Amino acid sequence: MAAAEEFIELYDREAESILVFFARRTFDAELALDLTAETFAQAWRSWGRVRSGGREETRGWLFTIARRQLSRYRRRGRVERRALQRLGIQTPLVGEDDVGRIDAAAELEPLREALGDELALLGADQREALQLRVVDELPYVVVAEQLGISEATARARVSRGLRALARALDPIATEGGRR
Amino acid sequence: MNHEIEALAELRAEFERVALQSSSQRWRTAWRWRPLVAIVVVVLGGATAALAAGLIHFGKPVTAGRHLPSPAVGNGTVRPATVKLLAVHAPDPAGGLPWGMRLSITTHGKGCLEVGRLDDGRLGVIGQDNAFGNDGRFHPLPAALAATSPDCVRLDGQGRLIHNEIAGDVPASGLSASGLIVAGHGCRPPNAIAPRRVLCPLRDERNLYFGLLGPEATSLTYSAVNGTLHTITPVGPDGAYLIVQRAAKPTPGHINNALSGSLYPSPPITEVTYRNGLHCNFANPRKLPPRACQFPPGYVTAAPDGP
Repeated sequence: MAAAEEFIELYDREAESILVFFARRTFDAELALDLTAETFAQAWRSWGRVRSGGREETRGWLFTIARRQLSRYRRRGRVERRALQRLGIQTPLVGEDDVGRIDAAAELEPLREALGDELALLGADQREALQLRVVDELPYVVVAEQLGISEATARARVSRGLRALARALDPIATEGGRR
Repeated sequence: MNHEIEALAELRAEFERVALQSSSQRWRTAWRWRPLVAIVVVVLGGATAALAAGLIHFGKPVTAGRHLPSPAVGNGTVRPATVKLLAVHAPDPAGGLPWGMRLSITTHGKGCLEVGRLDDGRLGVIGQDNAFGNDGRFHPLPAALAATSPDCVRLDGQGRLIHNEIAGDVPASGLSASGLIVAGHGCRPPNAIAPRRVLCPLRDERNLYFGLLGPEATSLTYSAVNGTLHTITPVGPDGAYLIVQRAAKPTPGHINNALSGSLYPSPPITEVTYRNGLHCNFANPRKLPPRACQFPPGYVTAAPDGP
């Protein structure tokens, strides 16, 4: 089977799992899609070396790339797009219907409730930003407006807040998740 | 494979394109440097091409012309969570992929309608009529380009778009069907004042009539090319409709490639009825419809912009 066809088969098999993995850890459908896109772009760049592995092995390798992406995002507050740019791939926009489908696939509703309880433990700045972005699901531009800060600062606060909650959330996020 | 999440399906098309391109480059390199392998390639070439033919379905996405939409100017940029493929579609007179319509709201509070060919829940352009080198592939239309349309209009007082558009002499490829400013040139209408450009054959010219009548509209009647009247039910809470007809032979005074929009429709749409029993007749374009039809039920005038 050709490398291209095998890679598309991998995408068909794992894309939704990877998207759910990111959605359950970022609570953000758009961001989850961006991270999914970069994960597969990086995977394609190394595909020639890896494609002969077994199905489980390949899956493990893909999730390793995904975890690395997530960790970079949490550290820097922005999604890396280098592999996507090199390949000339445009990440599609996430429409209203897709947001609902991603929320349902990742079962985000119960996670959002759990997050509400954990919010009380955070500092006021991060709590407000997370409340507006994750619980109230407002776009970053509105979060920034309501807090009187720039959009970049709003993103950074949410990112740091999620990182701070990661320990509390990870068992919940993993429970019921596919990976 | 069908991905239920539309964005995943669009992303798959991108990876398919890149993966196949890259594979074909590898074949070319191998052929150049290893002449002996070429013999094998000749033998296996047919099988490889057949395999690729099954996969080469999507082409490169449509890209923006001159400039990408900017948050600061014009319509602003599309707010991703507002992008909605409407549950309305229309057959093309020549068959093939149907036509579909998408609604997006921009950061400047404008509603934009995009029309194009529909493939597996995705809106796009077919590589024909001089678009995309006539490659015959389906080229997805990224939703972000909606904001390049000159016909995005301000939402009403309830944040709703009620709007009707006519796009005349659109090529059947669907390129720039709703006036989007995109890269690349398709063919021009047969009587266009652009002699050096490739002209579309008349059989590939379409007139599109589309819009959102709002939640109160219950039926729409239009006149087909042969003069017969058809009545359809607007689709969904937006009251969406989409009519695709072959363009008629150009006549003196005919406006090429025209795009126009308004709050109420015009011929070939002849009548719209509303839940409250109102019948609005639009058959005579020279006669102004009554005020209740100019500002249709469900439309709420927006507050004026601040100073």
